[in-house]
Amino acid sequence: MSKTVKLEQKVQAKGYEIALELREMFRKRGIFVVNLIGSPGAGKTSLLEALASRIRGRAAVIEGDLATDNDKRRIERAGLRAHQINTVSACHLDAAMVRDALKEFPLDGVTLLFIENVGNLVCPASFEIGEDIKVAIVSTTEGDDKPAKYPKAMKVSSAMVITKTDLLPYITCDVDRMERDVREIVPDMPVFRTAATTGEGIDRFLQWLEERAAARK
Amino acid sequence: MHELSFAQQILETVQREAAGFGGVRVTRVKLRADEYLALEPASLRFCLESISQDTIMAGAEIEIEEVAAPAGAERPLFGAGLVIEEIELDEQDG
Repeated sequence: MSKTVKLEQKVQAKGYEIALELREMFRKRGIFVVNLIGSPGAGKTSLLEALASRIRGRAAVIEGDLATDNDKRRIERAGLRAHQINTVSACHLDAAMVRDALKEFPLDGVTLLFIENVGNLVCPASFEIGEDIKVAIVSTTEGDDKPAKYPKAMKVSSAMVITKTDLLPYITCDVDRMERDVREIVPDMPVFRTAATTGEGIDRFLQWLEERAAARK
Repeated sequence: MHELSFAQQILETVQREAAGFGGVRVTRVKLRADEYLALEPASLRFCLESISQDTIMAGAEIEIEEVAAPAGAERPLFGAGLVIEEIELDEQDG
């Protein structure tokens, strides 16, 4: 005798509760949180360095790397508060790591928190760490088919930033193709073209972030 | 990548729900997944099969339906996304 039982039961991945708590806490404190994901060398840290002078005093950064505190020191030199998480072997940050980091990283006066994830376009896309939005960072030097090759990273992101546009004269990269491809996956995806070394596109990207932060209130 | 975490929750939920019926096997589990989750069905199935061995759900057929989010919808961030629609139970022999 076989019987079908309708459940309509929601399932949450184990560990999501921590991410939920984090997000709740950030919201209460009025902190807008951006999770930056991208391949190693895509230009995540450089993007933050370029943004730094425009957001000093009200922004902070949590850095995620397997090893070294190089990125934390770069961000501090650029004038922002930074905290380094070393995952040792984990290929992505998870909510528990961020929760633990915050115990030693007061965010007084911070309204904008960047969490720079471990360099990886695969795993970080699957994990919520308390952020409001994820932003995908893809460089002109990685191959213009990367958005197409990493659809999940694109799907979970609210914007894509194409970095190192100043190198376009020296390489073969079809930036329009990158935009087209990402819009096949996410039709309304905002795309920003930036060059950290020249500052090109940085203000426009920051303006969009501030609009998103304001809209969330 | 996080299919295992979901599989663990699915198994726990199914075990809890089926326990109320006493002496049954679960022969089918129907799941509905928001495509935003970008769950890999093969991976989820593999994880479920692995962890449900020697449980009430061993050998159950796993149906996974992926549902597209409405165009322009705000991407759901938490909690939403994966639902166990229904399960099919068979009374055990003997």
